[in-house]
Amino acid sequence: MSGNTLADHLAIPYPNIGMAIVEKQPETSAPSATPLTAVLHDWLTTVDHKKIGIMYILMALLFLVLAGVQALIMRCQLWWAGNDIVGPDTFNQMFTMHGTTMVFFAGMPILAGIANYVVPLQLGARDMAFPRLNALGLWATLLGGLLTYFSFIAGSPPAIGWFAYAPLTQRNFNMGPGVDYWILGLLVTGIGSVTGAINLVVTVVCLRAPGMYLRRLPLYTWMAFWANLQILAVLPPLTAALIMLLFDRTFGTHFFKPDSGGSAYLWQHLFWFFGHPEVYVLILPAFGMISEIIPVFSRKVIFGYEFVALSTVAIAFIAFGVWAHHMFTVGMPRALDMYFSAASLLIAIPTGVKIFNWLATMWGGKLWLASPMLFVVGFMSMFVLGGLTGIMLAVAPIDFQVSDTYFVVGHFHWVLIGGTLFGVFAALHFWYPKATGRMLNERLARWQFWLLLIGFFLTFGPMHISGMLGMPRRIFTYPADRGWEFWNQLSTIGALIQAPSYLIFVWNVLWSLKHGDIAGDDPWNAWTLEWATTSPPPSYNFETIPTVQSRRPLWDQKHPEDPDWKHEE
Amino acid sequence: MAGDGRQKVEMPAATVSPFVLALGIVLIFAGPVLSWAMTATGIVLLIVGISGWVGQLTSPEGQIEEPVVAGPKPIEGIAGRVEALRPGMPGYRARLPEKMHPYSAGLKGGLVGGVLMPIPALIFGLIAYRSIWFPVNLLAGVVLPQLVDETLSATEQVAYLSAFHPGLFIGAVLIHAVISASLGLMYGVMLPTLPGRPIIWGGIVLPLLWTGFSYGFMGVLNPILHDHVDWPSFVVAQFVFGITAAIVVARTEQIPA
Repeated sequence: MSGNTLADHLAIPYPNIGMAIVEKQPETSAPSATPLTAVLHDWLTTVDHKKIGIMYILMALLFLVLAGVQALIMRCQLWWAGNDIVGPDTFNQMFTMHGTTMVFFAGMPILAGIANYVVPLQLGARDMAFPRLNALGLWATLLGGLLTYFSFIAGSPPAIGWFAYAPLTQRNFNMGPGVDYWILGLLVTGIGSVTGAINLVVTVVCLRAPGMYLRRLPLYTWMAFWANLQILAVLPPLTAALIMLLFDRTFGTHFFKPDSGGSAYLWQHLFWFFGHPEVYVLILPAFGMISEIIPVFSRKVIFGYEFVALSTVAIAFIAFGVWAHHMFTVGMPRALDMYFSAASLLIAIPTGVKIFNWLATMWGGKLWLASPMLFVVGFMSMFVLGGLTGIMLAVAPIDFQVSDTYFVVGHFHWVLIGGTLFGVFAALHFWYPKATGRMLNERLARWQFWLLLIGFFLTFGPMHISGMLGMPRRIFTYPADRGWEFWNQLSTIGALIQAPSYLIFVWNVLWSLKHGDIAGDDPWNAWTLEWATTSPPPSYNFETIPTVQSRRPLWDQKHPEDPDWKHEE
Repeated sequence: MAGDGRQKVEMPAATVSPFVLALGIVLIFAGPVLSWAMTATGIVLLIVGISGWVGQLTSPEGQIEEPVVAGPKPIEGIAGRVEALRPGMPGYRARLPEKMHPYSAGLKGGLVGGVLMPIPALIFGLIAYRSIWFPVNLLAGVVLPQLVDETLSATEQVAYLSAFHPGLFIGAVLIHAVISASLGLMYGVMLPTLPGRPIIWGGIVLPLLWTGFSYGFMGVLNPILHDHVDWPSFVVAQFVFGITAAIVVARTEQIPA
């Protein structure tokens, strides 16, 4: 008999895999050791997509805490004009590692973790297409992050920003090994990201349950699929750029050295060709999570499935053609300014389509404001506000005024971090019962939501104003006579309000693992296949591979008098 | 079926090889900054990891048979709890229109409005600057922050803006076409949902709103246009667009939504 909760599984190794190891590999396994060692061995050697997904998420949360601490240090430093809690070098290292961590070691892994856990279940598959490659992806991502952080132990963390603009990254400006650790760590993490993306794409293409045509894919899986296609397209240019940079620093080549005939401009193009689609790598899966949660908590089918699905494709393609809107101020030819401005404005259309479809789904629905839905509402408020300031920044004349100011910092934290973070928290609250067999505590979840929402508004809202008042980003302090102090203090108060919300989440996750209400197989009365198996699911997910006739296979089973497939034909 | 009578499912066996391989990779990459000995160790681990991986794949031990444990509770039908909304029931299409204009109507309205709208602006250009290109070049300023060299004198700037520039012309036409078509589509979708006469909304209220918005934000969105715009002809052009688009849309036959 399987244990009922993840806690049971943690107490004794996953019964299915653990028993099988005992049966099949008595000479190599370590179950005879202490239970903790056995548990660690079990998790270290697992190729089960669900356990790998959980480890991705735990890894991401660990790095999220590190990035959060760095952010708090920066915010405290900026509380007073002329403050000296940290010096300029440390401040530079903080914002470099904060950005790098949030994008590569927190954002991407947490999305990879949720996709790892959920996608095979939504597809009705037993595992990912390449289970061992899946494990390699996890370990490469984690070890790449640790290698980058090893620069702290080596005494020289990178101080180049997460975008690492040339020629600041060259040896004569950064003589310590910090930049090298940064390059090498990202290269290793990149291996993890690419292997993970290949795996997910192949899984979606090849392992769908019978009857689950592409037009019937759950929207989360569809959007994770496109985000991973984007990873496959944009990580190779970044990898190439990182290797070129490594060669510049190690072997004396001069790809990015302007004084030796290289081009600093080339780095920006290569980096942002990765960097802007990366925004959609982070936000598209969040869109997918939202698209799953809104219908369930509105008790309505998603409005305009085809439009939501096709707008994803449009976003994915347009995202490849807008990278240089990060570079309006470098002095590009006028025609390029014009093109990149227009293309960037264009992307607002499919994004707007999604927003209106979500609103239309909620409109007239029987809204159930449980914790996942609360975070969805938070996501929409953040994303719409941040998206509007994004449209402002896509207009080149405005960008000229506020480029490299705190306005930009406020904008992308609202739209990207706010969007992704609220989406991810919505998803974690939604699927936690499936992964653990227990419900998260609703009261704690609401405390977390309101602290996070208020904190987010207060942290990043005033940054728009300090930015318009001319405060440049990345400065470690500022003169007292600029009128920036009040807005910075508001931002710092916002950050201090946010901080406990993360701690509450961690506490809720740990507390609910033992004390949460028993969830049952389908606590939200949802419609996709992951809710058709036990909570948590067995290692093989489904005893029999299900057959699908519509986009909501569980609805069909629950409502045989009015199945969806009748309306979808 | 297993010997103990339980169903079994074949699954991939657990293996440490991916971890060993990843460790090998990271040590290889760490070598250049730490020690080449690390790279050498990494290569050894890489070979061990790949060997273990391939070895497991090519042997029966790569797969294990998982005994089937207790499955999920059977899903029960909830018959009779779903009732579809039908015309006439409370709440059915209470706010959304039962009929709407086809999307092509909005597109057509936008494009026709877009063709007529520039006339007041072009007339203004002809009268004030003896050039129809003046308003065209100003429109291109929406996406071009440095349309005019600011070191030029006011007279030279006007001369520049009065001349024909192919790039700016193409840009202006594209901007105008996209905005006109988008607004037209919006008219097509919105007008049937608004109470009262569509011409009032489309011809007066909406142009009034976006003209006010333009007046407020022009200095930020398009500083060049803000500096040189002739507001009376600008306002007339907006109303020409609104009235034309609204008439074209309203005259189109509606179809069931």
